[in-house]
Amino acid sequence: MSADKDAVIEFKVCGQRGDSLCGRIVWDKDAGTPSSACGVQIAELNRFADDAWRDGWVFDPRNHRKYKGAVRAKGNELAVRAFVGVEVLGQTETLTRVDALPTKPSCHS
Amino acid sequence: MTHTKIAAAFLAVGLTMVRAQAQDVVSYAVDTTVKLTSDLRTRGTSDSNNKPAARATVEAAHESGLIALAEFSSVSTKQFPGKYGLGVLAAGGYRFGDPDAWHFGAGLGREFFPGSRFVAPHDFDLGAGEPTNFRSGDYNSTFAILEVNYGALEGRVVDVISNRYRGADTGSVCGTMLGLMADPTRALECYARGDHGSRGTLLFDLDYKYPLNGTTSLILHGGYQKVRNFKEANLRDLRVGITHSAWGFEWSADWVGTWDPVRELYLVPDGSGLRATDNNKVIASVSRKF
Repeated sequence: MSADKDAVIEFKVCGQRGDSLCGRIVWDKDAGTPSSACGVQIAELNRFADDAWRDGWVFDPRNHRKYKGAVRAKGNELAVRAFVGVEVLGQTETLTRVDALPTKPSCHS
Repeated sequence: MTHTKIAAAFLAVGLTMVRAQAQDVVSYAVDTTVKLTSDLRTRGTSDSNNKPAARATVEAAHESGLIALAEFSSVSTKQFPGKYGLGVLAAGGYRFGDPDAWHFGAGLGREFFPGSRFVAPHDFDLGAGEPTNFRSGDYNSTFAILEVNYGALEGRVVDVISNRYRGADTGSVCGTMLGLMADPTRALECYARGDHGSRGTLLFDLDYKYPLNGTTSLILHGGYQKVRNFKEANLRDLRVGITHSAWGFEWSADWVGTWDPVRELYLVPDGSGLRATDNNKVIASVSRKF
């Protein structure tokens, strides 16, 4: 669940060799409206090193910008960092694990 | 929902998905933030004469690590005499390091107040018992900036390399003390040190942002200014605040406190009286990034 509780992003292994990590929006509070971001892939990281998934991109559907990215697991949280060029020029959004998707609105309706 | 709305929804999602997949990773970013605040404070003291103010900030970052900032603030013409009531901060620099561990920054900045000037006495004639050598000056400052940060703990040292820091010189500091302090002794001591500017002033800041949850953070700030040649203008400030993100806005409430040895330096003529701009105070603000 995003920090603002506006979306749920599912992270799972992806890529042709199954060695990348992808994040995709599976619940959006705006589901069913023109501004819905359901199904949008927001991250693809291709390498795990130094406790983080790296070498890929993070997409912010709020401003439609694609940044370099890094994703770190911290307990029950996932820190998604989007940055310009070097990691220090960026912002981190902390996602919290949820056991189930909110029932409404649904991305599948 | 009508078929038209459904089609529009799918089209919007489709376009977003195409954008995410197809577009290149940005090599630079420009962000604009607009802020409204119940009082605009710099180093704990008000620049807006304790009144509401607005600030627009444009930040640019390039993948090389180069950064630039331009900030436009409404300020009080009672404190910065002139017709515009505008404060501008322009800065550029370079940042590098690990944001979760040690990271650093270095840069240059200039703060200026277009059209704002003051006239003050730079000497005191002991024989005649009156201030002399009236000269004008401005509030503009140029500085070198060094940032030393560890994770969310950010330290900054600013070295003023212009003649004056925010107008601080013998005329403005000693002259204000002479005009406003009941006992002229300290003002005369100030004049006795000679005619100086404040190049070499050092500003120290320590900031910490502690996330309380995903949308709310505790903000802590401590600052100290050591004004070259004018210890009377040295100042410590403390800020404790809460900031919360909701509905696309950042909402903040901060308590700001200052400790200054000569409060007369922060009194502003307002109407028929004087108004303190260094009072401890709670400040509310709201900002939005575009």
